Amino acid sequence: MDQHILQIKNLRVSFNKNKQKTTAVNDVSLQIEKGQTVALIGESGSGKSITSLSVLQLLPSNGQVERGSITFNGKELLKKPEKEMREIRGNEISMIFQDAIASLNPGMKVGVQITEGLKYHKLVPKEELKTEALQLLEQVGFKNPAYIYNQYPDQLSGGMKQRILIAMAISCKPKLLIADEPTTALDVTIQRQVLDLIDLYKTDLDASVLLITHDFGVVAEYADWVYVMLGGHIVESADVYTIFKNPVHPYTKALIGSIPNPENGQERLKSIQDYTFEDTSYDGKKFAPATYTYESSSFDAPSSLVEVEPMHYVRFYDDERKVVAIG
Amino acid sequence: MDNLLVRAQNLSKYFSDSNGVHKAVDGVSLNIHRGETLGVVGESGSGKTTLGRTIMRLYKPEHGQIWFDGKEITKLNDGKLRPYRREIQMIFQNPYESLSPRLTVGEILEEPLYIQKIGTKKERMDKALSMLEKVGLPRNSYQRKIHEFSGGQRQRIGIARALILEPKFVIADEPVSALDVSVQAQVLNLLKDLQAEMNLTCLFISHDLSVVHYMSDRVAVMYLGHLIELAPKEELYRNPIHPYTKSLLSSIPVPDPERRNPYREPIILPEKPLYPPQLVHVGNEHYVSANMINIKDFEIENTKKQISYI
Ligand SMILES: Nc1ncnc2c1ncn2[C@@H]1O[C@H](COP(=O)(O)OP(=O)(O)OP(=O)(O)O)[C@@H](O)[C@H]1O
Ligand SMILES: Nc1ncnc2c1ncn2[C@@H]1O[C@H](COP(=O)(O)OP(=O)(O)OP(=O)(O)O)[C@@H](O)[C@H]1O
Ligand SMILES: [Mg+2]
Ligand SMILES: [Mg+2]
Repeated sequence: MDQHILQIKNLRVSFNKNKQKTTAVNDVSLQIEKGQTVALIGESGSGKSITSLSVLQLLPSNGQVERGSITFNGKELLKKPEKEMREIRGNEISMIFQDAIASLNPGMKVGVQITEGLKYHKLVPKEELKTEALQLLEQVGFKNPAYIYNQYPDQLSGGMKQRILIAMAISCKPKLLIADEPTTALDVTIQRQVLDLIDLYKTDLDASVLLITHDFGVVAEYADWVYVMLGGHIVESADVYTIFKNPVHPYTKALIGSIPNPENGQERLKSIQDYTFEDTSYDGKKFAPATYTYESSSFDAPSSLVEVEPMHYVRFYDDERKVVAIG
Repeated sequence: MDNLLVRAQNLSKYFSDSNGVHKAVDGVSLNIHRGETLGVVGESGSGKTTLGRTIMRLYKPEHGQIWFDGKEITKLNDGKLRPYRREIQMIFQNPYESLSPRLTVGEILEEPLYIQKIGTKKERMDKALSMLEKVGLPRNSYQRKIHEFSGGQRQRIGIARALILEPKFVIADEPVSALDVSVQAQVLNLLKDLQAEMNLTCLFISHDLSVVHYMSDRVAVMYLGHLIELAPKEELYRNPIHPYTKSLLSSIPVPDPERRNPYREPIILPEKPLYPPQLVHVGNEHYVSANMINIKDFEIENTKKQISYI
């Protein structure tokens, strides 16, 4: 029955900065089923990357998981020593990091770079690495793998480099692929190629994808399930059809409403300011957070996710009486 | 009064390095009418920014001519360009890089007035404060520095600075690409309002076709340095002709999961033609690069074979 490949429960992550502790991720629970693409969407700084880095235990050195659990195929990852995590990273769970293009080694042929993982995990004999690399290059859409094999990163365009990163990430055939904003810097035609590639990989291997993005258009095209993040919390989650048809949290509504859509000839875009958080309630419950501005949104009282309809969760304050004089 | 504010004819800008000459903009002709917004789309490296910078004469073109407000400005030297620097302004993608971190917002806004020797100290300050109000920032922003502002607020400051000289023509180069969607909408709405209020003519550059559609009256598509298609936006989005335009439009993610299409055709991008294409009118103010279409396919009597520079 339990098909969850990844399950995060009540995760809290904090940072020490100038001797002060700040919470970047709070009470985040998230699960991914086999064969699913799960989208994590939210504004800059909401905690998307930190959540995913926690899975691989790759938090920045001043950050730590304070509580919660992360299981992969039923096994707790947070208790695993570094040595065991190394066996999992790149092999069973692999991640395309945000801004990873910059991390390509400029002095190494891309064909050699994409097999580093295979070499490390000793999945293929040495003499077969090149054949494997050529296959991977073909798989990510290069028509002339032999030529690309010998190129250095600087000789490739942004879209080509992003495909190299995908080749690298899928080289060991991971069962979970975490893609952190894999297309933000790319234009639409290349974006589509890259996302189609990830989608194809997922389908072919019955793998799962955690897709981090701030583009609701991308979510609509590729995701099965959606988590909306704001200020370190999940504020709404549901399957993709429900989220679009019946968004409940004002922040989700604002995100969906602010997408320009050529098809409906909008005279004016809705912006986040057109949505009120304050004094709105749902079924007598008060949304958390109660106020929102782009600069700050604060969860100033205990809150939790409430099931508003089957399998559709929205964050509300636990006790309405505590919500006084905010902002 | 002439209805055209900007006219570019056969404009080319080349860059050369050790690998040879790179034709960043190659034989582009277009007109921009007073009060209109012309959107420019195209993939990264297609020459959008270079086109904008050449039109405002930050670059000297290799070939071609540019007219602004009825006067040719192709060959003017820096001194002669000075009055045009006031009338043509640019809004940049990254407000943080284009605004000095050492100056206060007040100083940033007043600088263009100072350079153009406009007004007294007091008048410049009043002007700056009224611009702050226009872009929806509090008066006390005047003394603050840029690092105290969020991305969306910084872009408002960038817009205030570009508009303080009351230009006739504004080139907005990816003005919202660095912003979160939730903030993007505010800045786009603000730009639209100011444009109407100040009667601005605008060249709006972006690789986001949904954003361009929202902002523009007509849209020009660049591909590998060439202008390959140009039409009123509704016409272009309804009836794209060039294969590159088609692939661009079919790649826009549709924000509706019910309409997801897993059987989309793969994208095949055309090669760059040897010579700059000629634009051909195919009706409805729709122009498309002639190298790519067989004109006979279009049963448009009078415009058949007629090559037009719009
Ligand atoms: N090394 C660090 N030290 C202190 N705070 C940090 C550190 N890294 C991240 N943070 C904070 O953690 C919060 C969440 O950051 P995170 O990178 O997860 O955001 P994000 O949702 O991925 O945003 P973006 O869309 O910009 O990538 C932010 O407030 C950020 O400032
Ligand atoms: N100052 C320069 N020197 C040399 N080459 C340049 C210069 N500016 C642009 N180029 C080249 O000219 C071509 C067009 O660049 P341009 O910046 O105009 O493209 P763009 O369409 O604005 O792309 P993007 O969407 O990435 O901003 C590119 O190949 C670029 O490398
Ligand atoms: Mg991130
Ligand atoms: Mg550019």
